[in-house]
Amino acid sequence: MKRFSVFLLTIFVVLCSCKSQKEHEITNPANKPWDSILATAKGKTVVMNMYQGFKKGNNYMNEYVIPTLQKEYGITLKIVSGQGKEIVNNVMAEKESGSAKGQIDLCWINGETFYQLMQIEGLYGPYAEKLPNAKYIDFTDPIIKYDFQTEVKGYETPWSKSSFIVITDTARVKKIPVTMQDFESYWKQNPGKFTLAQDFMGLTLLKSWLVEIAGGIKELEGPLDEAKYKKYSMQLWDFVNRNKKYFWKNGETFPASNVTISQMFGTGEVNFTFAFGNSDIDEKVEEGLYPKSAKGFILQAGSTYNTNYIGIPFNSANKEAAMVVCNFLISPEAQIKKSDLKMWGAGLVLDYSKLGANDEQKFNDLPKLIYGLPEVEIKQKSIKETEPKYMIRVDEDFRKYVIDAK
Amino acid sequence: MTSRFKNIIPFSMLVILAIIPLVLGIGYAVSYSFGLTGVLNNGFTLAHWQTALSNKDVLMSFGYSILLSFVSIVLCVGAAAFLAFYIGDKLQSGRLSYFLYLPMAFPALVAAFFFFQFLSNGGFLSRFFFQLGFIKTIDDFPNLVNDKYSIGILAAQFFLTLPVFVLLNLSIIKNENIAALKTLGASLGAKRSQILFRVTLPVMLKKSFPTVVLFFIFKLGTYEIPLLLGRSSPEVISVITVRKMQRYNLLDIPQGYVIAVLYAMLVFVLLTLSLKPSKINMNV
Repeated sequence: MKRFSVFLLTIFVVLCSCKSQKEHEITNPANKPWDSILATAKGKTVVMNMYQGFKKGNNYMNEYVIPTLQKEYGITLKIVSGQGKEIVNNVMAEKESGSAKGQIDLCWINGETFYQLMQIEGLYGPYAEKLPNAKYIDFTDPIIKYDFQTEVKGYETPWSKSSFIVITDTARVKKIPVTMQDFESYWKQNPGKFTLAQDFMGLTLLKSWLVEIAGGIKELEGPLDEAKYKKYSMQLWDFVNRNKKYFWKNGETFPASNVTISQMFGTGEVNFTFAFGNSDIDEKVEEGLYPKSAKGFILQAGSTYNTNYIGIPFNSANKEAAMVVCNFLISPEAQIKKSDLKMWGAGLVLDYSKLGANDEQKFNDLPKLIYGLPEVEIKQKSIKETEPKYMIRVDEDFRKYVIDAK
Repeated sequence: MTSRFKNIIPFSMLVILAIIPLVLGIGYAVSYSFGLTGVLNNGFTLAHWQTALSNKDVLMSFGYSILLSFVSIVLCVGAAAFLAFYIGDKLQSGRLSYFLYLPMAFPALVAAFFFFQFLSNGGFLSRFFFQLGFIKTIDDFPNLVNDKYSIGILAAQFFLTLPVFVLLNLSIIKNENIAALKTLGASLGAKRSQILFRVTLPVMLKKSFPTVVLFFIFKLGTYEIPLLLGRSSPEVISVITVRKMQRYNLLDIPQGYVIAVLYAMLVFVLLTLSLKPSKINMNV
């Protein structure tokens, strides 16, 4: 009798879970026919969190995306400033308060933000591969499939690709250092002309050196390996500590943000700055911030190549409309506009071979970079991002072993 | 009845707009710091307090913030008293007053960027001296921002706060009739130094004390200026709190709340010690 009761209970639990799974599949907006999604989306207002410190990006959104969405889909897109940790804090606060209808419907994220949002189950999905324009994206491409080595699994829509570039001024730096050894020699001969920021950009530089010490990205692939990390990171901190006396302000302080370093590069206070995105140099030269002798180069470890994405928070009140916006953002039309240097200059996230002849032509007709590196060269030297835990550890240990080490 | 109703409205507004949000905010921070709230917390623990209190950066941060605020206040109060005494009448109106009060319109972030551009090695002052031939390269210009002695932070805070204290001093001089007290002291045979140290300064300091304490607390919590013009270590309280709450490790967030609670306790103690009801007489 007892066994029979357990059997009945098991059957009941299985049936219940089947029912809830089925309910989820039906209520999941991503499973609705696209026409129905479009109809639901019409007239809705979508609030998007994105970094607004980039003039061209703002122009692209305000002058092209917002009016087109309104005209073609009847969707009002509102952009609200916010990035990285602000997004995580917002979603976390809503999750803690049990808010079923969140304030944000879309957020521009990648890397550690995606990792953290997944950690707190803060994203809606999977939906990305069900979007009609997903056919233009190669989801098997490791740069797209994995966001900092965390599998995306349809929880983010890829928006553009970008690569880590070091920028110098060839008028001031005759022999460009590429390896860590080159940098060490350069710093000794030119003290005070180099620094790195305590932000994402500085951490990417440190991770690139970690990869160089490890002998290549293959050694650091996969989840964080504590033994490997300790072995290589100790060499990294030793390298930075023995050289920091040659850094800007004797390595006693590091700027909070790379924006400060870019300003100092412009004024000649330091000779190197960093960027994520190959078009950054052209844009800054055009603005008059960088000299025309500015040049981008790739470190010995390679160029960390990653994708940035759009995510939908778990409690977005307008998931259908948010999906329509995502679908539009990965349309060939919107992507080609975004790749245009005059618009944004972002790296195309679509698979070039999947574009139609007409779109291919439009893409080829775009103005080419003058100061940035050729895309082919970057792709040849591109490396994957390490797993997000590397970023967390490098961030903590940079403070522990370098900044706070007296 | 009407009079009672008149009192209820402002009191309710105070409770709803100020006291309740403050109590809820501190309550949330305390709860988070003990692991009782937060998606990644797993119930009551003292671990976050132990970690934060054993971290020498946190303790250094409190010491550094208190010292920085104290020096900043002393500089401002001293300079403001000097200006109010000697050129006070000229500061009441005219062009000079315009230049003196202009900084009050500057947001802290703008002032921080301005001082960075003005005092850094690649900044305006450095280039000016380079063009005049006083320095061989811009790198020879002394470190005035992100520097060991926090000169950049003190300069920016001095720029923003000085007008407030000048205004306060001018108001006290007028309301307390300092001129008459000085005349009285002189007629009783006091020397100029005696008038200054026995009459004028004690009255000014006594009257301005609550405002000085409030500005001290305000400076303890400033963020933008120390973030941009300060060094990576030590950090002021607000910078280390935001770093703990907004860096990549979500598990550090409770430590950020521990620091926030400690800061709230410090502010509470300062207010309790200094702003006793009898002393609250702002005169601004």
